[in-house]
Amino acid sequence: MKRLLLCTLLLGVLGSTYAQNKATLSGYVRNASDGEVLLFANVFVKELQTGTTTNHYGFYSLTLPEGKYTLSISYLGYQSIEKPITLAGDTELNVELQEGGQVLQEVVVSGKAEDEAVTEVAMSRIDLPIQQIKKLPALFGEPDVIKTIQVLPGVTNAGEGTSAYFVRGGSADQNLVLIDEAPVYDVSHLFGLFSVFNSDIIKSAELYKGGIPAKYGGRLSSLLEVTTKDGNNKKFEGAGGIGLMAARLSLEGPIQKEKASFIVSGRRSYADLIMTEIDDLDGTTVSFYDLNAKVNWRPNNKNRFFISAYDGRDIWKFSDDFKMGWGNSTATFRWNHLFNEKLFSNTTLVYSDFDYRLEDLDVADGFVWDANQREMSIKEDLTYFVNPNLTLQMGYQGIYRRFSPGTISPNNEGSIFKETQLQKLGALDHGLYLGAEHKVNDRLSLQYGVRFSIFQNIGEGTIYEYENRTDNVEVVVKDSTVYGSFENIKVFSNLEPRFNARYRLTPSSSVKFSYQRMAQYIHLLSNSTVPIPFNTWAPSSPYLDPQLADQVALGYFQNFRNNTYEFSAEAFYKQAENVTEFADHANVFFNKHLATEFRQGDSESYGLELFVRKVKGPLQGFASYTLSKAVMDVPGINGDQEFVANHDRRHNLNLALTYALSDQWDVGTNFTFSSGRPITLPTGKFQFDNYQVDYFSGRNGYRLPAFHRLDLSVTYNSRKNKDRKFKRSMTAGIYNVYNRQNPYTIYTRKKQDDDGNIIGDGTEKEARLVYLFGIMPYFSWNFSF
Amino acid sequence: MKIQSLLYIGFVVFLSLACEKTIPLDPGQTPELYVIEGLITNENTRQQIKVSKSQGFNDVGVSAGVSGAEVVVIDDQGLVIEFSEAQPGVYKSKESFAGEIGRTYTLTIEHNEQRFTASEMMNTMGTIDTLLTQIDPEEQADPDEDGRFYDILVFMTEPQETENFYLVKFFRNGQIENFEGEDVYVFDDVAIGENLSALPGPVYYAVGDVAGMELYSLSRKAFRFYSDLNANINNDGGMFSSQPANVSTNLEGGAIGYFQVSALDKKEVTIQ
Repeated sequence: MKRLLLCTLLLGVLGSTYAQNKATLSGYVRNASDGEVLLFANVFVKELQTGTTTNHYGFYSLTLPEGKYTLSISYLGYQSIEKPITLAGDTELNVELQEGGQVLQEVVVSGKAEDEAVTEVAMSRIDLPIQQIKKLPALFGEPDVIKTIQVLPGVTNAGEGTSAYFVRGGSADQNLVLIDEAPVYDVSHLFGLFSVFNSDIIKSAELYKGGIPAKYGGRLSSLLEVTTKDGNNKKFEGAGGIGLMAARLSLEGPIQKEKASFIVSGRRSYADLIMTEIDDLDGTTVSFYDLNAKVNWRPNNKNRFFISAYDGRDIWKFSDDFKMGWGNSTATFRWNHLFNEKLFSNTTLVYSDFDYRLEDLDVADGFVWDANQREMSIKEDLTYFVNPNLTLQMGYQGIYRRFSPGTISPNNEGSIFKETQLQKLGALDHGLYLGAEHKVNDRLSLQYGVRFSIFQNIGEGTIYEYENRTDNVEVVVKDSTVYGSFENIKVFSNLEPRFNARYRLTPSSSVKFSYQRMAQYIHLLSNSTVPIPFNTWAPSSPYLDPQLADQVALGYFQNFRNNTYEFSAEAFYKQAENVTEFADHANVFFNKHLATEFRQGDSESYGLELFVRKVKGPLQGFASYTLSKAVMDVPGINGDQEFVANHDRRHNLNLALTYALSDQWDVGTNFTFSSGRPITLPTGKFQFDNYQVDYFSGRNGYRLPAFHRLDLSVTYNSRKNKDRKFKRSMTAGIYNVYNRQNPYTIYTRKKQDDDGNIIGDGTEKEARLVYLFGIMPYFSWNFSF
Repeated sequence: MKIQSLLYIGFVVFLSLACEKTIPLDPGQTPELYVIEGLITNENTRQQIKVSKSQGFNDVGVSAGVSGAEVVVIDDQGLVIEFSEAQPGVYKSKESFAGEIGRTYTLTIEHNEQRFTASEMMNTMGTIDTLLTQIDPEEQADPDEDGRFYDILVFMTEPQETENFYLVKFFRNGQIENFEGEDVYVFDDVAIGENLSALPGPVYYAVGDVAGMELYSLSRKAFRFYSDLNANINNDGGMFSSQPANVSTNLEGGAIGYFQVSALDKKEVTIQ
């Protein structure tokens, strides 16, 4: 009897242990035709009604009880797959998905990929796969990541002539832009006409306006993460195009089939080759180029290595005498390592350099002015897939920063200039984070974490002690302290909690909430309304406190008509402190005591964003509307009165649609409307010597007229494309179809005629409205093979 | 400074891609402010202070001078210099006197129960060694005005031990030439070496013209004022320019303008 009982007990225990045996199913999801990993693809287990998404490197991991399951793997724009599996012990399962089927046929199995906006916890994040970016009509026929994000809700652009953008009332320096994890400081060429991202090499882009995970930090308002393609590891292919202003070419292919591949791409403007031939221009030329290269190698299933690099430059030359140039260079080395099926590690080494250079070749006052900033960083990110309901992320990032604000040197013996150098600055930037993605139950999912950031401003350097730090006219230096190399000048630290929650109301609707605290330790010293390439960044220091922002957002998300339409309404409120401005008429060039010009204060912004997106069918696109306000309050500016921020735009409406008429023809349209930007204009004047001087009362007291514009484009894909390897397409379009003279600015001057002759005695003034681009047709020819 | 104006040229070229049109501007009411323009130099002459009022944006004509103000300057040794009204709004010292480098002068103006004061010290300065002339070949090929293609070459010595700021004025036949109130020539000496050789001036002359140059030493505050003035006049309001703001002043009591105290060096040369 006892023995029987014991046996039964043992069997029972063994039986129950067997029933609880868990195993991990993991692997990569890839594009079947070129082997590119797919980010955030869905892997869903039908029987358990649970699943996960692939991470930034296409990797997923699910720890489930052993048994038989039907897996559904899907990704927007690809044909979904259903795969029956038997899980007995840790299993590696790599899946390949076929592209296409987006227009007419839908092989929808579980449809989980399409309702991503409703199901995923991340809110305020918009994913832009490259196919979507390429579909929007673009100026000069060049698809452009930056132009695309500028039409999203909550993102305001600064207008024509610049690619600076503002997210939820944050200034232009509060946006972090990463390409393969390396930061990029100037994202445009030719003052905003082209972005530095060659769309032939981009795989995807994600914009975070809020709900930024603990893994990221360093800027207050947003993160734009651009990921480049790894390179087709099955066959050799290429793509390129020629547009009105620039030509581009990219080549990719396997180095070792399915194990290693490369991609290189280049783009160059050719307008300068024409401009040198035009005598009237007097030797003035502008040009830019971008070069991208990437190599990746997967020696075995547990390791993958990537090396990628980017170099880009803008060069402006004026009449053989004067030249200016600026650009970013970045290099990234990454190592993905699977410790085991549940622990994914990514180690990254990054080098980034942004520099600008001005050269005056005049004999009497020739000079060369160089300024740059460099950073080298090491990052370690670990993801631990505990079970389908819990994923942990932790890691560390350390950055060594070096700022060279300016060196001026004479470039010939007769020059009046002498070699002068502004003090170089250094800093060490650390971030340590721990976060979790936690599915509490069927309705509630959470994403939470905390980032602990430390910033060390280090020497060598001399710090001056001022009698009155904010007196920028009579600068009285009481004392100065000299710091040695790598000696701590000042150390700052902040705890940055992050919290996202998603509560599902129905299968197609959910409510989301997020809170984030962000710290920003480097400041863009911009004396202009919008950053220009010659603005320098400065580290937080004894006279520059780190910027801090708290943002909350609440949103409602719903999908209609079987996930054909996505709708969302999001409200946000953001409060930031230590936002940096300069004193009025600050002397920012070569000022040893620039600290006396800093003014820091608070900013407050809030708004409502409405967004509708259609992702299926021949008609696709989105519409967005944002109602928002952004104000600032900085002691020492505007007589200590609150003023609306330069980027305040009350209303912002965008519409971007594409329609596939047939297999050959696509048409697209873009409409944008934005309230005018605030501007400071004179209300009075006075005479001093023989000068007419403007008198202003109140910063940003006026508003420019509203900005609106309609663009149209049409794309023709050659019928022969179906059978040929060499595919061609042509895009033609019109920018600003109804020739709206969108105001760029208003300035005032003495009343004069069109030839510049003063009317009257020179005391009368008039206001002039400046506008940049009227109606502009464009054309580009694209190919791939 | 030089670099700022070069960058400005860069953006002007960019803006040359732009188009413009005149629009009406109605700024509403502006308070009327006292504008004071004072100059004390180390030249022995009847020093001059001008007092006027500001105008609304759309007003036309030169602002009328303010009459009946009491103007007095006292130096740091207690010496009182009285001023009398020579023309409406123009006050000159009753007797000639020369300011001295290193001395601080305090101005007091009273009018209609309002009182304005300012204090300023005369800063040290460099010297204009000589002015030579040359033909500018590019201008000769295509002169803006017939016969006017000579410019002056400035040779200047700049003391390296002191912190100096300068205002330069160029003259042609006794008249000031700053492109009709468009240019302000002001610079500091941070990046300047000891000898400035053959620096060409901005004005073109014809044979027979008398070219003149005046070099004023400025205090740091006055340099600030003239830099602000330059930014104010040349601000195109565009996104790449700095935010427009009011010009600074050293006057207290609510007046605008500046009380300038400068050492002065003048040189002339006739074009032959």
